[in-house]
Amino acid sequence: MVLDGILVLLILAMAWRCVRTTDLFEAIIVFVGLGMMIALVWTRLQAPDVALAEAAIGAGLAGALLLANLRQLPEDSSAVRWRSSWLWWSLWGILGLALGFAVVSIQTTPVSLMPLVQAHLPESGVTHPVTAVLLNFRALDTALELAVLLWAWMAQRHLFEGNFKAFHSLQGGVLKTTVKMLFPLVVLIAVYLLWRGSSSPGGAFQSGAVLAAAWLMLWLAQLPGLNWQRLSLKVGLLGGVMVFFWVGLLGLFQGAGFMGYPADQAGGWILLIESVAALSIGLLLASMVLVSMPNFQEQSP
Amino acid sequence: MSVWIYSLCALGLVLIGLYGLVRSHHGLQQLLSINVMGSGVFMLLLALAARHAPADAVPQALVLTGIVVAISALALGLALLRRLASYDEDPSHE
Amino acid sequence: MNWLEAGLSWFGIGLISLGVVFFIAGSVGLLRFGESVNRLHALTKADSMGLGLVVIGLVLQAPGIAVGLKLMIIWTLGLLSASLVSHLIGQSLCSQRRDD
Repeated sequence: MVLDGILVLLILAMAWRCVRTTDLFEAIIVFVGLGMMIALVWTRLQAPDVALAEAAIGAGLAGALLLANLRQLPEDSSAVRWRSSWLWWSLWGILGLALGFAVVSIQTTPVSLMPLVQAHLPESGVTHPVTAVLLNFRALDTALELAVLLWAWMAQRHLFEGNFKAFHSLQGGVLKTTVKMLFPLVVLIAVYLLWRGSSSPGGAFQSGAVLAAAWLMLWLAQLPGLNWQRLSLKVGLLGGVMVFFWVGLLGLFQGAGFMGYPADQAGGWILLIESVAALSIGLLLASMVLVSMPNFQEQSP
Repeated sequence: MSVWIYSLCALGLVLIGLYGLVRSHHGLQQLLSINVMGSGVFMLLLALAARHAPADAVPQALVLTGIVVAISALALGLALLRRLASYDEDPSHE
Repeated sequence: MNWLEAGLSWFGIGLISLGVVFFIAGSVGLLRFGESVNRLHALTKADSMGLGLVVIGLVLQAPGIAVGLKLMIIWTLGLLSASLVSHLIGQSLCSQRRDD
């Protein structure tokens, strides 16, 4: 109880600091810290899957993405700054009151979908409810989300420009050696998260985020990693969405409806979809950070 | 009981994010404010899901989806900002 | 064997509290030291020690060998990444100072 109160105060203070500071670097660092605090909140709210995803994607990957782009953006920007007036403040206050009223009135009528989920859990092919919802009961949502990720990356790829401010390379062999040691271990952790997703918190998204971190580590150490020209990379990027939709069509032909699986084969199909999706998500997330990155500039002696 | 606190915190995050969106000095900070608002919405969803004894799995799956979509939007927004910045540097670019 | 389990559990709680004290000390060092290099020193050493104590305390309370081994792997990864990151930050601070 005390922990909750302290966490809430900390989160609100950090969010306030993030939007009020004039130093962009500070805003990004506070945002990453805020993401970590929010991951703690997700753990307090009995949502370990979401906590894993928030820590990996929302705090870690977002931090890398923001810091990588900070260098390339000018200090002052052409952002339109709206003039605030009493009209705006009163609307903001009314919104706050209306949301508060809505929140208070929701609390008195709790309805849960969990009994429904648990009733159908045996025929879903996995034993973890969140994975069952993600990959079986609401599979179409997850497939479309993978498609959104793919489209965002494609749009980003067509937007980046040619002149970058380069990064200084880091000297010495400590980074290279440590990354060479760590990379197989991180890949192993990603596979472990994927495998455990069927029976405990984990799954394709967390695994994909850890894979993306592994490839970003390789890039930071300037070790050979992702090669954009290779066909296998492009197949890997597209593979998640494609396999998902193909299996969905297969389910349609087998009589279980679009995105449905026959009950006895569901576990196998889910594992296949999750494996390809984790690879795809990892490649897409790493590509979103790397797609517009220049090469390293050698240190001037 | 903790559900109440986190619902109010979610409300606070949405309002702070909206304030930041309007009053930010830089496009990057506006993107961060949008993501703060998104985190507020996720917090409300998960607080409502945590009211039941085994926490409701459907809002948790929705929030998991939402986190990934929020990151995609952040990445695309940053790419758009960089493109805008390159036009500002070189007005005859188009 | 109840007193043995209870004793181990209390010892684990004591170790975790000691680890938290180390984390607080590291954060105080971060806030109070002037030079970046000093802050790096305080943060890395204190946080690694604190993490180690917390992990050992958790291992004593762990429900099985597998969980305990996973906790040790987490500790190893934490140590590796903390030392690597502090090395890189120190290197960049050093090169900044050389450029000035």
